[in-house]
Formats: sequence, structure tokens, C-alpha cells
Amino acid sequence: MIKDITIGQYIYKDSVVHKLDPRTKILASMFFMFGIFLINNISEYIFVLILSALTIIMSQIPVMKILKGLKPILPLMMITVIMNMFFTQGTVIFSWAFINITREGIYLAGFMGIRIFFLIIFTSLLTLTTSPITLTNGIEGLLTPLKRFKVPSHEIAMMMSIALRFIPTLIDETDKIMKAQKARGADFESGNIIKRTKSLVPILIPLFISAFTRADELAMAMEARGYRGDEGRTRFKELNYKTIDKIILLIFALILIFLIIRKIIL
Amino acid sequence: MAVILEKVYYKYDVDDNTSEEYGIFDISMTVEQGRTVGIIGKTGSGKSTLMQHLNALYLPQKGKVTIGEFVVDRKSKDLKNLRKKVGMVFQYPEDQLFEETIYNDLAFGPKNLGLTNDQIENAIKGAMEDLELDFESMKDRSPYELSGGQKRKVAIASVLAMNPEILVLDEPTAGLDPKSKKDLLNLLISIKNKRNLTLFFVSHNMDDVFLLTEYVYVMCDGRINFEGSVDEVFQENKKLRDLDLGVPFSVEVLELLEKRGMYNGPLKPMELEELADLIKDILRGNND
Repeated sequence: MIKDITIGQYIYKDSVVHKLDPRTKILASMFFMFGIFLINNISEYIFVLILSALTIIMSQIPVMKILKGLKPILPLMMITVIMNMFFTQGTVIFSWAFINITREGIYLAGFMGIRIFFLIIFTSLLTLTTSPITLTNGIEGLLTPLKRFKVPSHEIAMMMSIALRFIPTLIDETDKIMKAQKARGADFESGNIIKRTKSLVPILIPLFISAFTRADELAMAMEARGYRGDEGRTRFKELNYKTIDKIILLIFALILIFLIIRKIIL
Repeated sequence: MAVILEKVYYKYDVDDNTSEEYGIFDISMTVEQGRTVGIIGKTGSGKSTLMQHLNALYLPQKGKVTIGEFVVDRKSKDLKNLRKKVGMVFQYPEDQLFEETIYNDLAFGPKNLGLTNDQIENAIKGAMEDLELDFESMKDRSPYELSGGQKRKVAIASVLAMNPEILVLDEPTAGLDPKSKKDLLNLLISIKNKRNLTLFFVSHNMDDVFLLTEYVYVMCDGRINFEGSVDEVFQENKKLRDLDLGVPFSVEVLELLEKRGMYNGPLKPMELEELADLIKDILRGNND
């Protein structure tokens, strides 16, 4: 049960999208995210659909895998859609008891649904085509200019990669402690929410303790191997923008700029 | 309580029909009440999986497990009563301690069983006494300030406080210093006798297995490769080595003596005193 949690869903394929610089992918996804909230008519949504489809085809990732990423977000999507549908003011087209459904509400709900859909598709495409380590490297790369403002970009990236690295370890650990407490008669499955939350204490405390011990040991081991933070540290894989990265960034940036200018003018 | 396993299969990936990778495969064993049984096998041989069938943390996908009056199969539910009877000491059991005081930690199991406060206190006193932990001076201390060996004892006591009839120990001495290790093994032997427990002992340490158990199952690739009394199993030195396992120290010494032409008796495992006597006899020249 607990083993089903997968984080870092990276699927290896030899595709153009996989080979892009992670910074390109992160920036393009961010531009896409902003952009999707600026478009507002059907033809533009069709353009987004084509863009997403094209990216998916180029990435060689099976469509089903990408749609699977939608599943956990589904409740959130539903809530957003329903909220928008019921609580938007405007021309009432259907009314029953205290519920008013407006024309504007339906439009907004539809658009919101579609926006979240594309948002998730695109971000899962990012994590499906970029390994967690490359991703953190990319984030570090993007944060580097902020160093001037004392943003500890290297440390943030290192923390992220260590966190990712230890997720499976912690899952194993949780599994083990859960079993041990179960063998001592603990019951995690029955009772009301308060009782169930309380029943987590015997898992969480040992888990925290071992996590802290582990962190301490890891810090020691890193120091012993000469880790001194960012300074003078070289890397095995240098990040490099290639021509294709520049083209893609340019396309996404231009689209976003166009959308922003339109928003301001109109 | 007697434990009977009948053709038990367990696969980690149930949905994968193509995979032939079983956690355990066609395991049958019968262990009478009060016996002490060792389970040995290299890492990944299915020992832990087998162990976790003994208190229904895993349910057998095929076959059934009978523990006293409880029958566990694929669809069993309501396993709390069974878990009451089977105490399970996992590897590094001190990782499961979580309460502020030793008393509270030991009370966790009995509380879950729904015992009254008096019963709980008695159970805890009994368990601590069995592990030679002083009740009065230790009950209010934090389990985290203890030494490794003491912590281990507290963790084992926390299982014993549930008054199990069957005790399953997975590498109970791993990572302890030699003295704590010896103390703990001796304690386990006396606890076993005093409480008339059925004991399962999983270990890589052949000397511990020899010392503690009467009957041994040797596992490999999820199956029971062979089984027998301690003496029988440990005389199979070649077979054990083929399975990446070792033999008790005494057998190793006898092997070396045999190689040098000084000994040609059976390669029987024995206690060190007995071994010393035997060597003394050999040196005196009356070897037979």
C-alpha cells in the first residue's frame, strides 16, 4: 500500500524533449502556466491543445501515462469547476432553491477546468521527461543569478536533491515501523479521524528520530568527503543551452509577451 | 501454541502473472508448542517474508497458516486476537520506541489489547523482570537515554509485555557489543523456558542459532532448502557453504583439524567447553 507512492515519475526515452536543457523545460513550463491564464477564447485553447499534443508526440511518452497524472488532481479540478459554476454572478439561466447557475459561471467553470487540465498535462510532462536530479540542477541553474541577492541557490538545490533521494528510504522506514507497531496491536485503519490521527504518533516519532539521525550522519559523511558548499565545486554534467533550447524559449517567451501585451491593451 | 504452515505461497507483485518471483514458495512446516526453531538463509532468501506470515502481517496468497486455533488464509480478517498471541521482534526493534517513558512505551501493546491498568502494570513488571530491567528505577526514564543494549532489551520487553505465546525474533542481537549479545541470548533462553514460549529465531549467526534452537529450517530463494535438528543441519557444512551460509565456530574448528589429519569424527556442532575437551583429547593422542 505504502509502496504505491511514486515520486519522480521520470520515464527514459531518447527524445528531443528529454534532451532539452532542464532550464529550458522549467522556463517554458512557467511561461506556459502564465500564458494559460491569459487566453480566453476557443481558438486559443485549440492552439494550446495542438501545442501540448505536439510536445507529447515529440516526447514519446505514452499518453496514458500523462493522463494518469491527472487522477490525484481530479477532486481539486471538480471543486474548482463546481465553485466557479455556483458562485459566479451574472445572468441566471437556471435557478433552484438557493442555487443559481449563471451563463458566466458555466463559461468560467469550463475554462477553469480546461486550464487546470493543461496545467497538469504540461507539468507532468516536465517531470516525466526530466529526472529529479536534472530537475534540481536546472533549478539551481535558474536560481544562480539570484545569488547576488544572497539567495542560497546551491544549498536549495542540494536540499531538494537530498530530499528526493531520501523519499524511498523514508517510505521503507515507515513501512517497517508501521509493521512493528501493528505487531504490538496498533490499529491504523479503524476509528474516527481523531483516533486515526492519534494512532500516527507511534509511527511519526520513531520516523522523525531516525530521520534526524540519518541527516546528522549524512552531513558528517558529506563533510568527510570534502563538501564545502558551492565554492569551487565543479560538476560532471554542465548545463548548456543549445540552439533548440534557444528557439523553444524564444517561441514560448514571444507567445507570453504577446498575451501580456494584449491583456494590457484590451 | 503450535504453528502449522501448509503450502504457503507469497508473491510481492500479485498482479504480475508473468513474474516467477515469489517472496516465499511452497512452504510447509509444523512447529509444536514449546519448540525453538531457527530459520537461516542468506539475505533475500525469504526469511523475513516467512516470519511476517507468523502473525499475519502478510496473508498467504495460497495455502494456509494455522496458529493455535487461528487459521489464516488469503481472506482472513480481524487479526488482532492472533497478533495478541504472537510477539514479533523485528530487526533493530529499538527503532519502534516512541513514548516519553519506558513505562508508557511498554504499556502501548497491552493498552492496545484493552487490558486494565492493573493488568498492564503487572504485564510490564513481568516483562521487565524477565529482561533484567529494574522496574522502579527505570520506569520513568526516557527510552532514548539508554545505551544500545538496554534499548534493545526495552524493545523486546515491549513485545513480551503483551504476554505472547509465540515469540518471533529477527536478528535480535544484530549490532550489539559482544557482552550485551551474550547477555541477551542467555536471557532469551531463560525467558523461553520460563514462559514456555514457542520460539522462532531468524539469524545469520550460526553460533547463536546453535545455542538457542533445536530445529533449523534452511531457506534459499523463497523455499525451504533443507531442514533438520541443529546437529543434523550443521553437519551439512558443504551444503550450507553452497548456500552462502556458514557453520558454527566449533564445526569450523573441527573442519580445520580434519584437514590437518588430526580428527576424523563427525563435524558435530558443540559448545566451546566440549570443543576444548575434544581438542585436549586429540592432543593427548586418544582420538576416536
